[in-house]
Amino acid sequence: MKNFLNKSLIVLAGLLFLVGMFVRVWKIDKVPASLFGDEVDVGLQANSILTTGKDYFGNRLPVMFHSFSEYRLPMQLYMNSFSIGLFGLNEVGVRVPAVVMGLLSIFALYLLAREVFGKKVALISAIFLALSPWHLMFSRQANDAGIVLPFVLLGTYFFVKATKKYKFLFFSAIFFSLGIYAYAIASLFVPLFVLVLALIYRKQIFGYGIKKLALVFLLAALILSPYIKQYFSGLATQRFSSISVANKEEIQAEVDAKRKLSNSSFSRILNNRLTVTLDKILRNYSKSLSFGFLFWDGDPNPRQSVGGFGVLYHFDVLLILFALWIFASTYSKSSSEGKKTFQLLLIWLLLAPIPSALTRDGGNHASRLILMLPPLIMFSAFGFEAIFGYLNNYKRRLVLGIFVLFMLFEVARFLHSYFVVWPRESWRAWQYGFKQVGTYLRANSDKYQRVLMNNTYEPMLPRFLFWYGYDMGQFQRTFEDDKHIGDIYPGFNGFKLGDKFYFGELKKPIEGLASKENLVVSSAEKDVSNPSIFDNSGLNLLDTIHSPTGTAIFYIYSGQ
Amino acid sequence: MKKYIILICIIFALALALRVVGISSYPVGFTQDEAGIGYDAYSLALTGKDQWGKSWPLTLRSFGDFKLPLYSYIAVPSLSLLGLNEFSVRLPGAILGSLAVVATYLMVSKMTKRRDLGVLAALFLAVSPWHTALSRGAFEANLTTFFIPLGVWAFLEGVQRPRFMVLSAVSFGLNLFSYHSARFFTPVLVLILFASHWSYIKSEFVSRYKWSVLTFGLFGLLVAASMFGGGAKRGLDIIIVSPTDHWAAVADRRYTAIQGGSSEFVARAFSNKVTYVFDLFSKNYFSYFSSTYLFTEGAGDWGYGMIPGVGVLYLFEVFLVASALASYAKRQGFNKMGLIMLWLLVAPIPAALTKGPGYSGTRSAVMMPAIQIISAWGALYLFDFFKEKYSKAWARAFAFVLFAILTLSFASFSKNYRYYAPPNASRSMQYGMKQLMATINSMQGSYDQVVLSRTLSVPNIWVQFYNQVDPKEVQMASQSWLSYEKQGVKYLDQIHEYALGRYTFGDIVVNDLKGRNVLAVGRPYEFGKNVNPLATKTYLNGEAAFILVDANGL
Repeated sequence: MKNFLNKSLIVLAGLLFLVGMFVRVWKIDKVPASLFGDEVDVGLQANSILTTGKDYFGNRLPVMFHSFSEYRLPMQLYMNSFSIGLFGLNEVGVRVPAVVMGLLSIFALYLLAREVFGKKVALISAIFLALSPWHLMFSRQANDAGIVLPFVLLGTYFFVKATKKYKFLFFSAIFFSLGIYAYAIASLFVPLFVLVLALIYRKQIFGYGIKKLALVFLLAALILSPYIKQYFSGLATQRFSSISVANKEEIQAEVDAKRKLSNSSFSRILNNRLTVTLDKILRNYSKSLSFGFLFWDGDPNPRQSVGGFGVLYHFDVLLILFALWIFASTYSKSSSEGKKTFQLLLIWLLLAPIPSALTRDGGNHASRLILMLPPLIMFSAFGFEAIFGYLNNYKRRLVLGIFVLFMLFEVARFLHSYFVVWPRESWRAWQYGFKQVGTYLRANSDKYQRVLMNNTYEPMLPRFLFWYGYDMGQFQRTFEDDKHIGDIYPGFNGFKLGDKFYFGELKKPIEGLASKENLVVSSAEKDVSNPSIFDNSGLNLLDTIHSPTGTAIFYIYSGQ
Repeated sequence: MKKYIILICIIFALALALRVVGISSYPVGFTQDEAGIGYDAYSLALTGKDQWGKSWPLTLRSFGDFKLPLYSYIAVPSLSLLGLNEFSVRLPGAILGSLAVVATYLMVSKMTKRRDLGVLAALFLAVSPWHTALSRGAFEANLTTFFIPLGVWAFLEGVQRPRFMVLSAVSFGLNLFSYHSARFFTPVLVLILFASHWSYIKSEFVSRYKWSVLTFGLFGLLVAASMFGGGAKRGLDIIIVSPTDHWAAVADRRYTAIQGGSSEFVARAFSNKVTYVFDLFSKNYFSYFSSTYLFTEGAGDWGYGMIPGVGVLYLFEVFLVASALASYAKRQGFNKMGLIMLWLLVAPIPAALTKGPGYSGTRSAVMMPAIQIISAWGALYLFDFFKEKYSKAWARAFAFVLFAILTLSFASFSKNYRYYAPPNASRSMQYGMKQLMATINSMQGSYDQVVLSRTLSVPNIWVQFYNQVDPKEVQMASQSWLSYEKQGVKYLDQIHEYALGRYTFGDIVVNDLKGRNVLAVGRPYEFGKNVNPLATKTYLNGEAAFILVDANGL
């Protein structure tokens, strides 16, 4: 009987894992609803590297890719150049690296959890991660958050392994260093984390002697040298200063507002730029560890969380609290290995929100907080496993049975929301509709002298380049500037690419642009307040792009 | 022993000073609920009836929100002595809030047999931003922080000396009439106390405890009676199982799922009343234990003298609370710590069952003083830890640093409370009604009638309170106000028009008022664009609040 139970548990585990694999690839081109700006940019850069060896601003094999709005870390972009080569310039090509890295991080978490907890918890951890809302979210979109995870997990895994065998320290150094190329949060987290790891395992690590450790450092420095060079040129930190919580003017304004109410020397001590900044960071930090963010609300950005769910499941709150309880109550009695495991997970969890806390709205930013996920999953899995120790009577088994049913219900409810409800709720945030525009233009723009496109709804240029499949070499040669120029064409303020493609603002009345030579892409939201104008005999409405819920997004028209 | 008595006297004096000094002006403003509670107390003091003419009511109809009456009854002496003003209404809350500090000392000392913990818990409560804020207004939610510790202390004394059990029964019984959260929480706590002490009190239970059981039973009957008198109404109105949108959110989600290709059954299974209530309740419940509520963000709005953006506990207490919880996990907690933990776990349930954005400092007030006791224990535990692990000098250094941080934190809170809160809170705390009434009184002489807009929020109460209208007159007028129930609206100020003497309350309809010899008072937007107000009242942040308009010139 017991044997049978064990076997069926393993079968169930295998089944759940397969479900985890399946939900990462199923409908990858349809859910999330469409490729949004950052994903399009990933695809463009990767395509540009793939076809020309340069980023789209023409820098050869760059460390930091120059994009329209920022400089980007290279890891995902190089990965994408392979997947786009394989699958083409479309949703699948853009999202495959995230899927692969998602699966890899499940495997990496299994390895790490096996190392610190043993097989059982490792298996549960892997399943929990495979079905985690937070992880699923970043396994299915081209976001650096999904890319960085396996590097940090493997870096940690090999670090723990290295407490027994020196050579693993090199692997650890390689993965941690590469992680810094994957996502900006790693550049702050990894050094802090490695320091803490070295402190926790100081006996074993410093036991190797300075010389051997210096070799490892040398390797890390070598891998990081291109990054460090960029760092000092300021490119790597440019993005951070634009999202930092410590925007000078804002902070000063807040200080001034408070000082207007009371300006004694005592209140100056309590109320200055430093305290206001610290207060913001602290509030972010606290929010990222709050029940609300983790278990109920998630990220308010609909691209990073599914409405009605936190980044973790509701039931995780009980499992995690239970795990913390067990750790705290048995800490003084546990082995030194057990103590170290607890220290590792707890400190990891406490360090992980720091990079995000330094950024604006970083308190509930699911992608910048992604490094919180592994320790939380391991706590949850540990808590789940620990419950089985309390199954000595019938009543408790019944309670656990009900709890497991509730867990399965929650998972099913989440997957249903994710695949059925969410794409319809979040199409605007995912900037749905540009694929249809690009495809239409590709098929039909030959017939026209000019294509005039709205650029005020969302920036049109990158989306056009992507879905039109514009030749990136030609783009590098012809692109000049994307600043809007007044009346670059009569009735149209904007810029042009080559002689044919215009991007900008359609001046009202937009009927003025209609002619046989012009193909116009107008936004329903920005340009067409009254769709009945297309009944006008002078206009020729060629296509209307609708959202999944039936709202008109674009009207494509020309003249007669 | 003597040392502790001196200490607790000092702490009580400190608490009293922090709670009484300047209560007429801080918290800024004076809310409609405070005015309502105050006026009913005034009415009871003079006539033995509330403003609706009901003799010695068990529930106050008030504005249709059916308040529990304890605060008004307690305020009767103070109103009889000092007359009807903000100070006399707020004073009882401030005094009971200070006595709560003493009751906490008594309860903790008795329960844990550690007077040092009792003193420290009392100190933490005395300087708590949460408790100080709630004690400085006529906020009935705070009464429970006095009656619960008193009741628990008397119960524990009563285990040996039965006559204390009568005091316990009275204290818990009164608390059933203090606030809705307390009405839910008190019986649960009494049950827990009974269950955990049953083995000590069961012998000769009937002969020893008959008077206390009778007393508590009597209060129970009164509660039952009050439920029929409307007391249940408010409770039912604000509970999460009757959502304001009549389940539209659930239906919307289900509709989206079906549009996305789900079957009716699946959509219903994943989105229904049970999942909705479960999500909301669990979210609300845990929010009261959240790092954000306790330490960094605090209350959700500026009502009740609370300061959003600062935790309901001091930030540094996060370390104390964490240490206390760790000590409990290691089974090194204080005597009966489990009881306090259970108290904390039960306390937010009523708050979580009610609608609203959560983070309510008043609905969760039953968490006090349990949370301060936990925090104080954390400090004591760390002190002992330093003493044992390092040395007495280290422990002393820790205590010194802790008190320095506590002082600084308190100073920072006081500064926020005095300077930063008033302009931000003045709208939520309904600042300016006193000045508005004074202006109205100085101008109204030449008008036939004064019209006060419903946007003043229950406008009749400001007239009653600040003009000290004779309760008999109000009781006469309010007989016709009762028609609000027949009109199917929940609150008095939702009806189209009602009157008290020459004051009329209701909508501002410019076309009706035009050319009449009427003084009209309302929000600026109600009068349209081209209006010349006789006077404009602003909030402390400069935002326009109300204008007075001569209807002749409309």
